[in-house]
Amino acid sequence: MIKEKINEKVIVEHLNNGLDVILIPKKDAVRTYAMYATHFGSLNYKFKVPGEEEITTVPDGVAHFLEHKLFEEEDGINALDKLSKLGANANAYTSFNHTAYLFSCTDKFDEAFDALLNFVQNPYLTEENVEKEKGIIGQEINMYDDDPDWQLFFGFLNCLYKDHAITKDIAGTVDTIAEITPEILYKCYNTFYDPSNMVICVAGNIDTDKVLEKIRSSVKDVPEKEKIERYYGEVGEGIYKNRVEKKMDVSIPMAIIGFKDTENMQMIDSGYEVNNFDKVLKHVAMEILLEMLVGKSTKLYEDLYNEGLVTKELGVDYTFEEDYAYSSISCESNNVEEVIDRIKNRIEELKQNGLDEAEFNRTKRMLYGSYIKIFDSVSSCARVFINDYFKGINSFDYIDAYKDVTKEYAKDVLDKHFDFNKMAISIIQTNK
Amino acid sequence: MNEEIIKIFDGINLHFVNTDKFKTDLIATFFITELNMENVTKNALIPAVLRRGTEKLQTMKDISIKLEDMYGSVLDASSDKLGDRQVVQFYINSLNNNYALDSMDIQGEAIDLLCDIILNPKLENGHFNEEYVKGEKETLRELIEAKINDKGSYSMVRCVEEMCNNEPYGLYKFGYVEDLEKIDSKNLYEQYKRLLSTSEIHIYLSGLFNKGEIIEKFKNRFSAIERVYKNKSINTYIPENEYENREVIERQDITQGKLVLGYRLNEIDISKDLQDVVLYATILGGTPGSKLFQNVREKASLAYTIRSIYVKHKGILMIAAGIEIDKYDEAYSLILKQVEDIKNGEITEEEIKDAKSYLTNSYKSFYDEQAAIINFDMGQTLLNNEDSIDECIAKINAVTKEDVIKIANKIELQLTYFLTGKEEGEND
Repeated sequence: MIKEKINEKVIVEHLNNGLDVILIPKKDAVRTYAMYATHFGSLNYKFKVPGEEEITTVPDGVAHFLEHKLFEEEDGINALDKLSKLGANANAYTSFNHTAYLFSCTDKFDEAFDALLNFVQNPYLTEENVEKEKGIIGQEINMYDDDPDWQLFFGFLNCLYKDHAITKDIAGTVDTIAEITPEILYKCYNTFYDPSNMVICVAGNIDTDKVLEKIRSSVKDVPEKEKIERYYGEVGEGIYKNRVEKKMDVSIPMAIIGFKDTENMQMIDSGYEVNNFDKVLKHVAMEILLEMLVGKSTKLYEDLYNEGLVTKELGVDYTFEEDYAYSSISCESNNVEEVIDRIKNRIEELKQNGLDEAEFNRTKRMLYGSYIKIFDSVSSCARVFINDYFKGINSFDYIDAYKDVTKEYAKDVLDKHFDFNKMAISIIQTNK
Repeated sequence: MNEEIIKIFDGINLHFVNTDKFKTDLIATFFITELNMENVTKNALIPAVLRRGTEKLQTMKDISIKLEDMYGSVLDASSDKLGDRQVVQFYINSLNNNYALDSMDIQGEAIDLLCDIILNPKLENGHFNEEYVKGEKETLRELIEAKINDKGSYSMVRCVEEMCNNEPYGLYKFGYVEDLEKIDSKNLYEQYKRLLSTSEIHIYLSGLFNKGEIIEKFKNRFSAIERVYKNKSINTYIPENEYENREVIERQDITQGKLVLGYRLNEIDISKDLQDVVLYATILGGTPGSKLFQNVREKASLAYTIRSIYVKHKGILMIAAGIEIDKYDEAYSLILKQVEDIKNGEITEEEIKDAKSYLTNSYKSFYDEQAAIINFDMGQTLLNNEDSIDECIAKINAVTKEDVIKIANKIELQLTYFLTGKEEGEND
């Protein structure tokens, strides 16, 4: 399947073993960016392996732990080192719903791509190397404990959800990772690192036929497996807590105010274009609304800035993944309570007065332009396509959605989403 | 890609970076001036005040509306330091005209807006708007105070402050809270005028432009400045005293310690050995394959993060590590051992080859990012180094093991900085 838009082309293939491949050829690019990702993130602590009757439960932090361990190879040479020897810049990350291994390079793409395909498919786990990793990850967990943004964000999630897997720290805790063994890791690996649960995306100056051929010959040829059943715990209709506060060594208090979205919360399927245009449209409407609420061209932002209540742009986000969704607005202020009150008033005001036509169209135009800019960078576009893939979305759909979305639709989303009964607030206060 | 430099006035250069590779245009303007205690805070404040309003677009809201209308153009005005110089910089990044959904000349609008921001600020009674200055002083105060939030960057800033406490580079790039009360809309406006008339100015245009038209436009706009430009390059300040390894310990309520070692590279002539130092720093701690990363993090698990940072515009090198507080002694001596090992020639051909291919990759990657191309070129200009990206790559690949050892033996440890947790029972 080939798709074209804004002078960009995307080639998508679904292989017999279930692997999806997304190729984005960009002939002027010097860098090539490759990602190999699995639909396995911190949320997946409870699941049913295809063919098994019983539900498996694993310790928190296992996806992230496996990410660290996959770089270790039997010959004793770390895969990161191999890639870096080839001049490639390699990395990996674990999010709530996926784990990705990636590299960018300017030369020796074939060798680096081989190395990527090879290490992701060949785990090497021993009692000894698993034990050793616990020290390194323990340090990483300590680092998150000191990170105010991270603490603020998890405080917020813990308000919205009581028992859902999203409240679990991505890296787990020192206690949960202590329980991790090679057996647990192998079980997760065999379940989630099957081609049928994975995707490869390459963007850059590539010969797409050659890359596809390489993937076909290197990724194991096994029958496509059934879907893994995943259990995340209850999303819940309402919110768990209205508010949470914490004190840390920061110079200025920080806050997140956000809303839980419980509309259409059936589980999202991953895959390229699982016909989720409605989700894209809603996402776009939410982006427009958040900008119109607190964006830089609003009266609210002007007032907050002029009164010294904020010194920089408020952060906005709408996240929808798996079976949950929420919006958030974040700020730093010496008077976070006042800022929160103003945001609440602003939401009320917009709901009552409706959306101004000119403002709505200008915001659409801005988001459209910003979206096109993503395609200037091989890494941004590969990341966008991968993120959207795990939501069953074809990223090109956004370009249409930014043009098509109507004011009436956005107003409807505004009225439904910003329900004060589903609002939560997280605050980090200064230690001063 | 090719670059063309056109001098429009004394000390004002236009740099055309001709490319049709990107979906956006990037225009950047740099004002290069001396970094000093007297003006550092003012110069940090000026771009923020300019960003507040122009003669035509009087408020920040008006500017934001304009930028949104230009398909989400992004305007950035800030101040930074490059070695012992202060750089006041303005960027505008905007969508190519051919992606516009209507007939808007986004590029033309972008140039006009950038020039308006720099040259035609909103004024009252012949100086800056009182409210704007007051507001931006407050914002800057918070920005200065926010220095402490990110412990990683904070510890490096502190290391530099302690190392260069008698040199311009030791100044904090955003200035000082104590200076703010002395600044008003009049004396700030005077400094702005001085900045315009005395700075070395570089304007970079990346994208496709009608050259003749653009040159005329900039000549026309910049002729409004009364220039008293004296062509004197700003030299890097080198203190004369000998270095002793001094130790600074600071305590905060944190669980992970931050260790920073500051080295001087004064004995090195970077006009010819720049890429030797770059390669040395990369072998030491620039990559996952580097000595520090491999031996301190991977093999000994004594650090979560560890890397070396070479500040070429100042001639210092830092090793920064996030470590467990009670493993300080072990981590510290293992780090020093890596530095010693290179001095003693313990480097493999493979380590050299790997670092070279890493750097080749990094340099080449600049071509994929307009800002990287521009910033590289600006950086080279300030080093009086004429090497292009390709020439840097060629030089990197010509560095020998002996060259690296020579560099390793010229660096001098001046400061050990450690940000650590509070002792038991200790409280503010």
